[in-house]
Amino acid sequence: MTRHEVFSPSVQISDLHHNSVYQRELSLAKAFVKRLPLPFNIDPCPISGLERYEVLFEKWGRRYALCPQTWSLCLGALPDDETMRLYFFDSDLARYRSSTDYQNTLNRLRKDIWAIQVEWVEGRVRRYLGMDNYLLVDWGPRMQGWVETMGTASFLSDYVVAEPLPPVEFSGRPENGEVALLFDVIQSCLHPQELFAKVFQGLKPGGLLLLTCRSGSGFDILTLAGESESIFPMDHICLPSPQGMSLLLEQAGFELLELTTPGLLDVQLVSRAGGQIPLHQYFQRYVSQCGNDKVLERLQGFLQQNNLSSHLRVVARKPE
Amino acid sequence: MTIKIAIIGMGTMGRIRKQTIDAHAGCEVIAICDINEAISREFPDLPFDTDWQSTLAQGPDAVMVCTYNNAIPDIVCVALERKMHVFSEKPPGTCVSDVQRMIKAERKAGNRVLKFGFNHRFHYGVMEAKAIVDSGRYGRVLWARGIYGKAGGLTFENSWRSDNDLAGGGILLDQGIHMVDLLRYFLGDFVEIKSFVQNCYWNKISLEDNAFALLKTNEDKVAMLHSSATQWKHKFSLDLFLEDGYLCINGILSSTRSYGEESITFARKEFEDETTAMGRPREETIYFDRDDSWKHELEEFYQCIKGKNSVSVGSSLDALRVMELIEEIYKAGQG
Repeated sequence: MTRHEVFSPSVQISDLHHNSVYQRELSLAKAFVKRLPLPFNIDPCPISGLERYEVLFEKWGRRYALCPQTWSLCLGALPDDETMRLYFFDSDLARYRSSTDYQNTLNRLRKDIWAIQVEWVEGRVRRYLGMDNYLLVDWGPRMQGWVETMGTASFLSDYVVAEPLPPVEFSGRPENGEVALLFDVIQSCLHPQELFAKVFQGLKPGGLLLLTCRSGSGFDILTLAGESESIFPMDHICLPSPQGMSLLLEQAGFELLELTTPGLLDVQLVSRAGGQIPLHQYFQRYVSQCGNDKVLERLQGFLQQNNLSSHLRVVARKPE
Repeated sequence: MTIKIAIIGMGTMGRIRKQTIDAHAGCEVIAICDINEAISREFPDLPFDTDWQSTLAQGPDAVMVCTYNNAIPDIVCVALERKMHVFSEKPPGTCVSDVQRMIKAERKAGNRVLKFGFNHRFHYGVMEAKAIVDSGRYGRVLWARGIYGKAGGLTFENSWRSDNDLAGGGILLDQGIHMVDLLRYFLGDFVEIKSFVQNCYWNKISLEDNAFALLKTNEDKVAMLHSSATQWKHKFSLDLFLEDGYLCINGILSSTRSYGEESITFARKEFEDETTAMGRPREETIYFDRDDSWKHELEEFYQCIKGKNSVSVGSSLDALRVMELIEEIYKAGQG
């Protein structure tokens, strides 16, 4: 297996979550969630299927529970498909996110990050598939700018967008691809096992799955828990740990090639939280208050190398 | 059908090869040979001989030659003559004329496979580097710098590797050959060579313990090579600088892990800001925790025998070119 470390001193939280935009998203998401009836049950873990008893925190009245086997973190009571469709396609939040203003702002902020992501995809494709041009199926992209950037990459022969929420829809020919992307999709997925099965089915033998996802066992999430601004329902309902992600891929029949957490922002997120860090997290409070920039940079490198960051990145292959 | 393999030479490499073959579903070791008879006791279930001719007489489909360098050409040529496929450790003999002899035998043997053990090309750091270079995303290679060094050690002077008759060359031929092969792999064939080849420290041996070379291709790409047996902390390092970026392989996984972690760091060049971007550009490092190079190497040999591939790594042409370069480095370095 491999471990990855990424050094990128210029990337800031604001590149991903521009304050004015993000605060509006949070308030619209919160309004949507608050209108839903409060559930009292805790469903089995959607990753391992095991009963869960440990609630890590509550956000907007919704509990997040830990998987006893994998440390994956998922909503305690899982919403139904209809609620998810409503949230992503027919809510005030969905309308805001599809507005020109929102799309343009994020296109501008994320342009450089997307270029790096496309380069990563190309790097993995060249490494494991070779020098031809390939058909790529992109599952669940929500940003027009991303679709334009990825869709025009020179190493692709064709680019198809697929909607992961049931019923599955394709923007082009729903034929088997050589590459499948699942960028930040699993985290808002109710039935990850079913989605992986669909993705597996849609890949040619030997084809590659590349995915990114928030990981529930990452440093900032386990430190900040309910105080984390970057985790909220229904955007984040399924946050696999590296072990949970391995289990999902194995269940679907994938061969795991790389599973790493090259996140850049865990330490920054915790440091910026300052007084919001839960009081009993003494070590994290000490480091964020007393650690200088170099210490924080090295800590982030340590988290990356040891799969302890909350940004998960995976390369897997459908066996020949 | 299982490929039946005989291993000639059961030292360190022979044992590594045996372990790898044992783990391969399509290959089987059917006989072993070593000049040290005591080794037979470690492998009681396998036919054993101290004479390689007798081992070849057992009729294996393929032979793995893991002997001293000076014994390689005879065994390879006879095995090919008997229509066996051959995998031989590096170096491919002791000199260019040895390789030429083996190539002649290969041509005579027709469709038999001859492959040499340049396993470093199958290390994950090198495979990653090759994928980046071939993708063209950083443009063409401008120059390279390769360092491969070991400490020698207490037994170094008495080792067969330090015996001119058995080895035919010093650290450059023994270990540096891997770096020469890699530099050629990434930059192409070299046409101009300048070098110093000398014995700096291990005075009881007549062979070189350090070789420094500058090699230039006909496209003016320059590679700097240092092969050393006085590198008191083991080191493997290969830097490749391209028009728009760079990649640095550091460490190489070995059974003892003495060359450190194997990693590759790569980045796009950034000209935006002299202090920040050029001093601290965005870099990605991949660390590799596993060495599957022996496995990949055997798999390629197996696929070639099955007729599904031709030799892409360690062909007789690779062997010839590398040995020509090494002879040139020796010649230029010894004035």
